Amino acid sequence: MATKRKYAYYIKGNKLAIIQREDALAGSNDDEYGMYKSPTESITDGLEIQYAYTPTYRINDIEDKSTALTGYDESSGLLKFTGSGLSTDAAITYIVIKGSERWNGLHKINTLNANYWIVETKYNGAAVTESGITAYTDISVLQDETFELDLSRYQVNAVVYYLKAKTAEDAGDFEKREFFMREFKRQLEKSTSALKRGPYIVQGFKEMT
Amino acid sequence: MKVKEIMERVGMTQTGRAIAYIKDALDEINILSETHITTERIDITENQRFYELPNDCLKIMDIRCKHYNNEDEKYRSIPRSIYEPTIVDEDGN
Repeated sequence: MATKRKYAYYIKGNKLAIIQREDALAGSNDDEYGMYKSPTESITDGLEIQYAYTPTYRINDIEDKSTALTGYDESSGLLKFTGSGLSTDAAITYIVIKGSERWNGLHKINTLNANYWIVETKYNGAAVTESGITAYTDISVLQDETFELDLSRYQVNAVVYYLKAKTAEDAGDFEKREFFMREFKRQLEKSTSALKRGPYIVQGFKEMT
Repeated sequence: MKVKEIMERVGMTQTGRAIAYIKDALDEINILSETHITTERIDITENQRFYELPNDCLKIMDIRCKHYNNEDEKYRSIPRSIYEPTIVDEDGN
């Protein structure tokens, strides 16, 4: 049976630090008992991060994907996804990566080869083997006027206010800028609060113990 | 709604400028209201303390660990440490 573990995290620079409480007396230094230190054992998929991202792309067809990527490497300062039997269809200009520990998100294609895909993303590091990477290949990207934003109509109205605020800022009209930024935030708050209904319940965060 | 419709509403004619501001707006919206959320799992490696955040991570919503306070391999939210532990990482990072 797996044992309970105690973890905590902190952010240092642009990295996430995971620490684990030393709960074992036997085989460890007694001085470290009860103290937090680097993880004491490897756990597959042991860390789960839930995060917000910027929707500057849309996946058109979720079936158009490749799961043949087996890792990544560096190629002349660019990121190179490695694999075998990869598509070389010239219609693939962007890919969206999911399931990678580091490279999730949108990448612009530089070179397509059956054994690797080089993307425009900068990378200068060692070759890494990674399983579970999925690359979606049928993508619409926010790069021209035809792109349809993945937002509700109400939220798009907030975007309109934001653009008006920025236009006013460029023109040096800061009073107007403040007005439109206030409207932007108000519109966003209204769209968020419109989804809340009924009484609230408060519960303690027992993991803090 | 398409970018073109937004530009018409605002009265902008420069596409590049409009797209740059729309990207800023999408960042701002997700910082304030978290409209687009995803989850990623990373392997925990023995004696490795520091992990890269996902490339497209804009705002962290939750960090969970398997086995945290349970024996059933469930993921539970872990607390944030205010201070760095006195035991430093072995690789010195």
